[in-house]
Amino acid sequence: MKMRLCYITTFFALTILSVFYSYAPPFLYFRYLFAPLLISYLPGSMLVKIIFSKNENLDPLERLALSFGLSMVLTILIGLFLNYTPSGLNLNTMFVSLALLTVVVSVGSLIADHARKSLNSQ
Amino acid sequence: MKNDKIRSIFKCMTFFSYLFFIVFVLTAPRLDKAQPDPYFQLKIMPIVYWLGVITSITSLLISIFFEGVPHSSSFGISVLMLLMAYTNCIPRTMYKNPIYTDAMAFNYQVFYVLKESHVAPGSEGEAVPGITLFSSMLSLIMGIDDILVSKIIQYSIPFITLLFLYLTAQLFTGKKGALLCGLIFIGFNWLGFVFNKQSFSLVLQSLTSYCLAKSFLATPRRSMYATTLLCFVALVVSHPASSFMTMINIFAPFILSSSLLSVLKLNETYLRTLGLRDANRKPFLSTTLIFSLIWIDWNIHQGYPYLYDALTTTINILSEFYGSPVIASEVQGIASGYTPAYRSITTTRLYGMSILSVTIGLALAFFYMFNKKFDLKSIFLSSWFLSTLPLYLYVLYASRWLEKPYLYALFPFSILLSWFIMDFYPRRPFTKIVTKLTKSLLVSYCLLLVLLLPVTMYAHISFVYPSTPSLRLMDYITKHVHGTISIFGGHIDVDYFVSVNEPSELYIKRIYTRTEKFDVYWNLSSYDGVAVTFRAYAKDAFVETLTPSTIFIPSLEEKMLMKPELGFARIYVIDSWDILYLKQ
Repeated sequence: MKMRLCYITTFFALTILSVFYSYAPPFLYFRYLFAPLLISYLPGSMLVKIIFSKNENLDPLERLALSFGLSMVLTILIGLFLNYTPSGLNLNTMFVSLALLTVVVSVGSLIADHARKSLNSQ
Repeated sequence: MKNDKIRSIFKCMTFFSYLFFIVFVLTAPRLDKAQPDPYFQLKIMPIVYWLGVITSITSLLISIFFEGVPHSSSFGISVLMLLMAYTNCIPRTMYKNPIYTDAMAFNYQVFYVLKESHVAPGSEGEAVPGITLFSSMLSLIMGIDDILVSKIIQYSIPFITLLFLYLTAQLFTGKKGALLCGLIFIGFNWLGFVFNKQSFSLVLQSLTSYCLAKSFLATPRRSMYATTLLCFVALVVSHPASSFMTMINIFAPFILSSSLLSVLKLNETYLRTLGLRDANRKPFLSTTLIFSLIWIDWNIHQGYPYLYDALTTTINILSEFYGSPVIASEVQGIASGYTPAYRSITTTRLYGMSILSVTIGLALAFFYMFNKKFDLKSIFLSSWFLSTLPLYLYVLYASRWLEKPYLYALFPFSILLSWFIMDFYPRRPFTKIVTKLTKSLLVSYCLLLVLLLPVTMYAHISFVYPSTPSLRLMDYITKHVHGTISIFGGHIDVDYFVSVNEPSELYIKRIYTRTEKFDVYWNLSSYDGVAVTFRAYAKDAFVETLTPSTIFIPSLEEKMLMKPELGFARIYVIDSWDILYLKQ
């Protein structure tokens, strides 16, 4: 659990650096690497972790596909929400909302894991 | 020993399919424009491409039909993806000036979001914001322009859709059957994938179908239903028509299956004692027979002109082989684009494929409904397929866009067919032979389709339906008009093409210059004529821009009237969408 927290924090730090501070190659390539992960993988992956526990009948390919699909779904819904706010969709609002959502879902997945573990130990 | 041999052939084929792919990507020719030639795709593709297609198909077939091959989900799906890349994605990457079909309209929407921070009010982007919002977010956070985003999304849509189809099929047929299902889907999907709202919503539709099937067949849980609902909301905002159809196609069979099952469970013993289940088959069969007869009759009635056209075209193509260049003379001097010869072929292809898939699917749906004795999976799948039929009927009578119901029916059809091929083994000797023969025929037909897909693909779009007025306008321009003509064409709801005679990047730059309120009427004086058409074919024509014709025709005419010194007059009017203005 601590490891996952560590990974997520590192990922966010790298993504923030690459999105806001890299304007030219070679650092720009980091942006091309991290930004798609933030949009199309991470939120869905964390949501899948909340919905399905590790020992559930879901193979890695299914997890991967669901992560992609659900990330797409969440991104669209966030975009829709932002579209109706006065500030609208720009880099700052999009990044902050996506990051916030990912953090919330990650914390949710950690809590779900913890709850499952404590249930199993009982 | 035998297994070892098969395994080594399999490894060899897989290795070569990847190798050919890499070689092709590194050495792929970069094309400026397509030539007016029905065998264009066949001629330009290097031998490495065809070898790649054949080796990946062979590898896939060994993996599906032979025992003892090391098999895992990730490996099987990767070969399947490779085949999808060969048939659907690679041909599109070869053009310097990518023609995106609907993408132009959507790029405008995305560009508007990037500029104004909101979806364009009153536009199609507001009605179906899914693809616009996702593309905008990707573009902003990745820091790339919307053109590149449309490329990325267009190339990734087939893979994600295929992945979800594979996973859904896995619930019914197992891993090998799911691979076969993917192969059938590739073969029967003649429409290809483009960057538009329908294609984008296919991803969400397949995801929703998967989630629902999973919750119905494997893990019935509240969280899974909630996920399905979430996916459905995203689908609704991406394409209302798709979501409406998904609702009919999936939720209706879901509810029907549930109620039917509960009723059957209650009455099964009672029905069995009365022998009513057998008796119930007869009215079912006679209804199906009447329905089929009406349907076949309608198809023959509707399809006759196309069939006649297709026959004539086939004879023309054959005669070209034997020395008399009929098609070449027909399209001589026309700029790059679809040749008129393709009209009947594409229409017949779509019509024929629809009839075939509906007929086979219908037979299989009823077969599973009765043969599997109301098994949970068979009821779900059969009713999923059967619920796509009303849309077919509606389209046959009320609309000409047959591709939409065809796409909706393709998902359950592929699963049904692969399930039949992989899992049905009769006991009687005669039935055994017949079934074996039918299965071999079906598999060979699918393979033929997969191989034909890149052959009949023309200028990287597999499906096109040029309207008769557009063809007439093209014909008129080709025969009677000289000079440079500015051609405006396109429609946001259907796929279209334009011919770009300029190999430069001008086409892409133009999008940015025209984004100011569809300002398309600059320097009209430098042209000898202006043609407004649904799809554009012309001799010596340079395509200025793309925008929905219906939006700009009144403004265009107003501008022409305001500037009589330009000297334009309506010369040739075919219908409200296809008009030619020439300088007097």
